[in-house]
Amino acid sequence: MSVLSDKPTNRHVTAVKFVIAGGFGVGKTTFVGAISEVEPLTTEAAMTVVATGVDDHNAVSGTAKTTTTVAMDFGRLTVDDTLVMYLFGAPGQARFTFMWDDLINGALGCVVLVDTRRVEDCFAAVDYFEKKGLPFVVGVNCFDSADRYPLDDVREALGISPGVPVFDMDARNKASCRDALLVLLELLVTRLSSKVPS
Amino acid sequence: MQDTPNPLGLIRPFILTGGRTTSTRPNLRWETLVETLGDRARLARTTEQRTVLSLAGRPISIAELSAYMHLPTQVVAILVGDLLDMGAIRIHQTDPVEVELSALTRMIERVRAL
Repeated sequence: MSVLSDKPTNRHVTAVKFVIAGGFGVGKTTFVGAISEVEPLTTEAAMTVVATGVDDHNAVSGTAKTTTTVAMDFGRLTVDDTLVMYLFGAPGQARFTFMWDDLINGALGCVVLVDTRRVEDCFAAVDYFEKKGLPFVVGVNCFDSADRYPLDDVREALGISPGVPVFDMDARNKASCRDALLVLLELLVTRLSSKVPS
Repeated sequence: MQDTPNPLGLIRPFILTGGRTTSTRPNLRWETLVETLGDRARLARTTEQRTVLSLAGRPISIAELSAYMHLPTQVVAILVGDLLDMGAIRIHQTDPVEVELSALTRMIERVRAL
């Protein structure tokens, strides 16, 4: 339940949304849990999709419209009485692009988590966020069993623009998740400051 | 992707919305906050409306309502749209462009303190 103060008032409460995107098992839920003040919750989004037969076991060959649901974990961090942050973990693979319009509608920015063993899992997300102009940063998650790649190689492999921060991180580590979110927040500050000279 | 475990058993979620699959308020988002207005909880006409009004005594997001009620976000958005039309709630919604530097600074301080 909300920890915002009890009494209804005329004040406006600002809720902002951040997206943590990445492939299966890359650490999205762990990331959300590291920041959230509550155990991550799960919501279901019902989606009407054009089934292509690639991913949906119910899909027949060719295209057919079908309704499916995608589960998303999310968490909340209350800043103060008038400001609350929500973080949504979202699948980054191409087959989920149908839901990204809803996902980024109103979002302030995104942390893309990359698993170097499956870099292709976030091609579509990176491409989409760039096209939509959604500010994002790229965290390269360090898995014990994975080879380490220089960040420049990851940047090149994903075709990430020079202005987008790319950094190593460990989603199992709370401080590392916090730092990743701070990189995104500071990017937003930089963007806002350059738009509105103060 | 998987089938939703449906707590309502055989009732399909969109039965609750009279078969509608889109909200009258297309701009409602997952993070949009819903807040019940004063004594308006009595306006509820269905169990689901009653549940929303009771959960939204303090501002609560559509996503949280969805999670607690085990209903898809779209279904919650439709319920919320109806409650708005009935004058039972108000919503808090902020466009990203309206988020000011001071808000970002407060977020940074909060996250740093984690």
